[in-house]
Amino acid sequence: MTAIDPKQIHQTAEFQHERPLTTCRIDPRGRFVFAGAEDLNIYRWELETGEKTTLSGHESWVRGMDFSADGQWLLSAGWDGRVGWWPLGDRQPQADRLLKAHEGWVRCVRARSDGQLIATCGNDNLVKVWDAGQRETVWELAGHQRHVYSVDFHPGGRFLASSDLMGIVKVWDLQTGKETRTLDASVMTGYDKKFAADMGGARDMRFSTDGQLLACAGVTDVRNAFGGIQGALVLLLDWVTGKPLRQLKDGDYQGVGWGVRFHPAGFLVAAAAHRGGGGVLWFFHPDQEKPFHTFPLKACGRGLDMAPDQKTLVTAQADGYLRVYLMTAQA
Amino acid sequence: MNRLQAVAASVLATCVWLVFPLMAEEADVVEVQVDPPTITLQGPAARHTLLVTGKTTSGRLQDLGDTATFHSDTPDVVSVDQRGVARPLSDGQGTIVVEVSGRTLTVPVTVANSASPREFSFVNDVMPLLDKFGCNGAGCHGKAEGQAGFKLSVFNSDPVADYHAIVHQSRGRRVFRAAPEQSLLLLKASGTKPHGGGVRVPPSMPEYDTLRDWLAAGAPYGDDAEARVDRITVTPGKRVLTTHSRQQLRVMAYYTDGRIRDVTRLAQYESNNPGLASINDFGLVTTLDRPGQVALRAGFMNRFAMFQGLIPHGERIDQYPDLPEHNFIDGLVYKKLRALNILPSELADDAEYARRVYLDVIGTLPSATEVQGFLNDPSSDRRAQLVERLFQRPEYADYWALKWSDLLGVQRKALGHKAAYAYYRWIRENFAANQPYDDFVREIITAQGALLDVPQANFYKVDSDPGKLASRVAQTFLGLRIECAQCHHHPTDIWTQTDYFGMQSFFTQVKKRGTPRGEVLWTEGNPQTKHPRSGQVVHPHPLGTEMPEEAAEGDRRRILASWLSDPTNPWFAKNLANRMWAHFMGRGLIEPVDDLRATNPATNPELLTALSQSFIDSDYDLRQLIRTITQSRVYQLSSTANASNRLDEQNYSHALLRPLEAEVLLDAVSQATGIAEKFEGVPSGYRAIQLWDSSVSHYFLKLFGRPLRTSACVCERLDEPNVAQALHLMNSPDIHQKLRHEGGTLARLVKTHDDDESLVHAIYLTFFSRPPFVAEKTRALEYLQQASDRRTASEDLAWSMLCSIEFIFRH
Amino acid sequence: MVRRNRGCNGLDHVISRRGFTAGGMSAALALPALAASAPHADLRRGHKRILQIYLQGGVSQFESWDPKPGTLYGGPFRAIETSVPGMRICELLPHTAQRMHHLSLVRSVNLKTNDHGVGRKIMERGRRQEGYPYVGAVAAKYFAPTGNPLPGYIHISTRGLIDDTDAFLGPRYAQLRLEGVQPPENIRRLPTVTSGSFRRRNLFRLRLNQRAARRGQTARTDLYNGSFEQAQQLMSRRSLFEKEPPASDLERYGTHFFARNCIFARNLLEQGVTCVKVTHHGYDTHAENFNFHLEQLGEFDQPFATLLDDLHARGLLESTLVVVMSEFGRTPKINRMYGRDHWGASLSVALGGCGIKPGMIVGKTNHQGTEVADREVDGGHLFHTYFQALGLDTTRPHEKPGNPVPIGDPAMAPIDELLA
Repeated sequence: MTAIDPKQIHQTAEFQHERPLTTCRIDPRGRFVFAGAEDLNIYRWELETGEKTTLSGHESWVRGMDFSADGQWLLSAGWDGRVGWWPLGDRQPQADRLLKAHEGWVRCVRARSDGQLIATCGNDNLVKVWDAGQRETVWELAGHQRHVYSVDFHPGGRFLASSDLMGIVKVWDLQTGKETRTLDASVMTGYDKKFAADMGGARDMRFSTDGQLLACAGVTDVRNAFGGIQGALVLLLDWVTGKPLRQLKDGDYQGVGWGVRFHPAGFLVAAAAHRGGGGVLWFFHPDQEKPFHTFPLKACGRGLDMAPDQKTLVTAQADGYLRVYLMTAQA
Repeated sequence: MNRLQAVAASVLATCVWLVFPLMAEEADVVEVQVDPPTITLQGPAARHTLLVTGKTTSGRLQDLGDTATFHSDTPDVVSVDQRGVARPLSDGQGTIVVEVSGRTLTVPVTVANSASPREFSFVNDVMPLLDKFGCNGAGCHGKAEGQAGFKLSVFNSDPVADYHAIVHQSRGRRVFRAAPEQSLLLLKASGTKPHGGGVRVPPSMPEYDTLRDWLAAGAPYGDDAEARVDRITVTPGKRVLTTHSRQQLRVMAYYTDGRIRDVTRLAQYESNNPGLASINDFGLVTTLDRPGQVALRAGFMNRFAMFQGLIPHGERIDQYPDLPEHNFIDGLVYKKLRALNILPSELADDAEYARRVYLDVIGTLPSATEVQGFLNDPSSDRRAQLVERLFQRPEYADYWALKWSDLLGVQRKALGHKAAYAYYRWIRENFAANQPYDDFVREIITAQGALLDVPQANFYKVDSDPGKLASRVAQTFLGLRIECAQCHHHPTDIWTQTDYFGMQSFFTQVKKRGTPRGEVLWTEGNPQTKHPRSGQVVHPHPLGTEMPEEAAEGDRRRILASWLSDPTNPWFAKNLANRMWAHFMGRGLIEPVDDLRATNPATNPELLTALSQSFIDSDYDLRQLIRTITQSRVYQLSSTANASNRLDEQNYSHALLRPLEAEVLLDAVSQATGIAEKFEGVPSGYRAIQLWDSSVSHYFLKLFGRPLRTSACVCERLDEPNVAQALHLMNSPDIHQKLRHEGGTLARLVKTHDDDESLVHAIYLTFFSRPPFVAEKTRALEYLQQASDRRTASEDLAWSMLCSIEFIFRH
Repeated sequence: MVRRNRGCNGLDHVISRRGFTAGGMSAALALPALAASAPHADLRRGHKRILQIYLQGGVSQFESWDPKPGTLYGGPFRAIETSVPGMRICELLPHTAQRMHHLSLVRSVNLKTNDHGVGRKIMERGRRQEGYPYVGAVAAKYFAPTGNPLPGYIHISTRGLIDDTDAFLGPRYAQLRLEGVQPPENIRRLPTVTSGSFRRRNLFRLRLNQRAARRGQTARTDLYNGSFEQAQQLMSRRSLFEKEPPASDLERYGTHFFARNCIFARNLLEQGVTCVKVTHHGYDTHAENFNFHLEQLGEFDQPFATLLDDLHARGLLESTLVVVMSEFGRTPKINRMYGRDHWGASLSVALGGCGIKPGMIVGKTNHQGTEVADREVDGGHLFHTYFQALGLDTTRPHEKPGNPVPIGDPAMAPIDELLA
């Protein structure tokens, strides 16, 4: 077994699509990688063969995906307000259901690891928790004042976190359906006075495996919202105290953090897009602000996932390429 | 409407005068001339513009191009259009016939080499078109990143790169030699294919043919050693025009190989005063209704020439009066006014003079006592003496320190409280001591050491980038704008990137460091500046001078400082003289005051030269310059206009009405009402002109246009009246409290003046700095006597005066 | 440059025959004195007005009036049906979609510029060249009843852009810019100054200024006098600014800035202001175009639709031209920041009300929206169209003593098919 060493990361494959990609996920068995694109489809590539399959059904872009706990279903969050269930291993998957879930975009979908619940959030300022089997709402959680960008289940299973445009992270108790506390991620939002607009929100949000940390990828220090002049950031929140713990960033790298993952070995990896084009993969120690390693991407990185082997990373990029990397020494 | 019609119509729209009858004085024309009398057209592309000029009975020259008709007597040899432009058709001798004012003139034409294939040159045939049609403008393909994947060097600075961009880039699609019309270059420029820049060169224009023929000839670059434009001329160069008239110009380019070419259609034009005269794309000048002097700039391939038009008012004044002259200024102004058929206004009376000179010299309204004292002064040189007394007042230094703090960027936010204050104090002390202006500037330029000891070094903190410093120095102390030359040859001036970086490199040694004793500034090293395009080293050298072989040793800024204040410096004294003249007269001899350049000439260059020489001769004595200006009779003219000078705002025929600056106005209100204003963060009793920090928050000052001091441009001070100002004067509690205050002027005057007549007199002296006229007094008395409450009636009267033009404006 | 103008106001030779035959002209306009005595009744019938909604920064045509869902540059939003069969607009405008029978669309505007300032000026002045008056100033000059105490041209905007809106028409016709519904400072007469005192003061001030005028009048002194005149007129109508809108209005329009500004605009139009321009900021979306349009148009949609309802219900729509415009549109290409950049080559304008045929679509862009495919028009054509819809002959010269210039660009013409 080759040792995992982020500093040795190198590209092993790339799959091309003619339109910019928006997000990507690897299925729990590590066989397929799925990507959303700036068209109305989801694309599936078989990692081994590169075989490409189109999943059609949404009427808008797909920017969020997850998998059912049993690994049978791809869940898709569409900007047409619908959540799709796709039998992910089918030769030509057809949506089993495209369920109207929110008014306006569904920005994120997440399945709980016990297979019972699914959470979604969207532009109707709502967070919804669904019975995974019945596909019916269990809780409709109202309280956010602005668009809800992302949700994630705390590994303990009882709590759900949701974050909105204003950097407000709400914690919901799934036993009662009540909001229990609010975490402050407001450094991730800025009001641009000149344009009278708010810019921010977590573009990806993940709990660490031990549930102690919550990482939010996005922006900070918004200077010109319409010009995209702001810093790319991963914010670490302390689950116990509810306070921001550390801002992970690389100086004044201007752009957006689009994806973040905790690696079981104790480091974090994040994907960012630079405002001038190009992007990076950053590798952070949770206790240091600066990345200990930076790997340049050929185009803006807009989605990031890690394979079950914990060695393979995939990124969705703005030039339409899905790129695959290995965090081990080159063979 | 199809595209061609649209273009034709828009050309019409730019010269709307076509529709309206002009004031042609054909009856008066005694002599007619065609220029040139004979033409030679060499080669197929030759053009020549004929100018038809009449001489009137009064000896005035007048463009008759509008009424003349042109035709070719030899239509197989030469053709001519209705604007008098001749083109060759075949070799031989021909004749063009011009009919005008009932006369017929002939112009012999020789056509040679008309059939020989045209030898194209990218630089001399194509680049002028990229310029003329704005393709390489900073808003189009000339911008740093190009436009739609097509980038040209801005203002033709890089011919080789431009040729490459057109001919080779984009897989050669821009150029299709086999079918020139299908070249993207032409399809886009003519609007046949959608083009972000719109239709630039419709196929109906001869320039379209030029581009097509160049493409058909294989889109050659031409000979690299080929002749370049050496200079251009404009004909006529000067002319006396009438209002509502037109004048066609002809522009000739002289090449280094001796070739001469008519480039009237290809040149670009600009008027320095569109309120007097405008110019269209084809060199046709149109005057409006105002008298004055206008300069129209023609540019071709980065060479410039000028037409100067003098537009007199109405008829000549045969019996121009012999006017008294106080000093050299007067004669020079009268000379100009005489040429313009304008009579100056009368001399201002003593009260008008006093108010004006107080406001102009010390930014302060005279008090009633001061006015009365001056009016009672029997001495014959009381006007001059008054100026001497004002020099001794602390307000003198306050006011000039305020003006220069605007220019030199005294800003608390940028510099910090302590440093900004020290910087301000240093400026003020210079004016209090009447330090010679050249020393003042030298000390700023060469400042080094601890900022606490050398506060003028803060100049290097307002802008610390060497390029910005170079621009700021040029703009402030020379009145030159050079920042365009950072990226390209200055589009309307002579400055090149080498000039810019020559100036920039004076400031690259400047270093700053924080120490326990505060910040310290010093210079060190021998950093090299490279020309961004050629990569060659540019050694520091002042504008318009030869670049030395090597960079000088030591602190380079000393070289700059001594060049600046050298009496032979062409701009240094002129800039200051012009700025001071503008301050006292309401308008610079050159406007804008920080845009001195060959193509923006002074309206009275002799006066500017004389003024600046007198400043140099006085060893840069600012007070002496103020004496000279204020003693002139021209400065002391009344603001009341006469029939001949009513429309003149350019030639100093009468004093101009100008709103008081925010600070001066607020002080005037406080002084007249007798109630001081309180400002944040300064001891009570401070006046607004003493505020060294332009960011002290104050509604009135902001509302009336106090600048933020973020640039070196005087245009930061806004003086446009608006509704909010009127509402403030009418209804704000601040103004009313001053008027009604028990300790204020009105309470006092009502108490001390028992009879209404002396009360009215005192109110007029206080607010208008003059006694009332008889009719005014009568009306005011009526008003006071009708009112039930004398105090309120006085306040009403005072308010009306405070809000009137006579109070708010300098006059 | 400040120019002065002591022009007279002779409406009769500028208002065209079209205005009379279209039945739009009323006694109020032809005889200004009547308007002064009874503004309301006559205004409602005959006073022509303009409601101009300006989407500052350049609204995306894809995300508003000319959606291209499912195409290369279409973006994530869907198109929805409107109250006009066959006319589809972006799903971000559901409320407006239900009122499209009041409006028409021009989808083929090509301004040939990608510069904010230039685009704004072309859209406002109908010309590329400097020195021409804005739509609102022209409207104020030729349509403002002389008796109305309010300025003819009010611009509600939270950000200041310095524009010479009146050009040579003179400061009387320049925009008065108000920061939202905030009344201008010092709009009330001080309680300590009696109305008698106030009147006498101003009379006396005018007398003093007449003296100063004999001395020499300049563009600046004209402006100065004009500013006092305008200030007094504003004071007489201060209740307009000071009243909180009724809860029923807030419920229908919404409570945010733009909603309040729309309510205010309606009130100003009802009070006889000739041109009310409301600027809605925040469309210059070089980054996050979709998120920002979601927010901005989400804010725009309901108040604008409600404003149309109110104008219609109150009988004002027949006499009020409504225009929604921007200085340009946004690029088809979605950039790497999910933004769209400046694009003047194919944008849309929505307009309706007075003199405009409703429910029409003029011109079109090609399949992917990358260029105008049919009936290309310029800001100059639109400018002619606005005023010919109001009955002004735009081919006639302005009343500009000494140097008359045509009201509309002579190289352009109105979009005839839109004129009712």
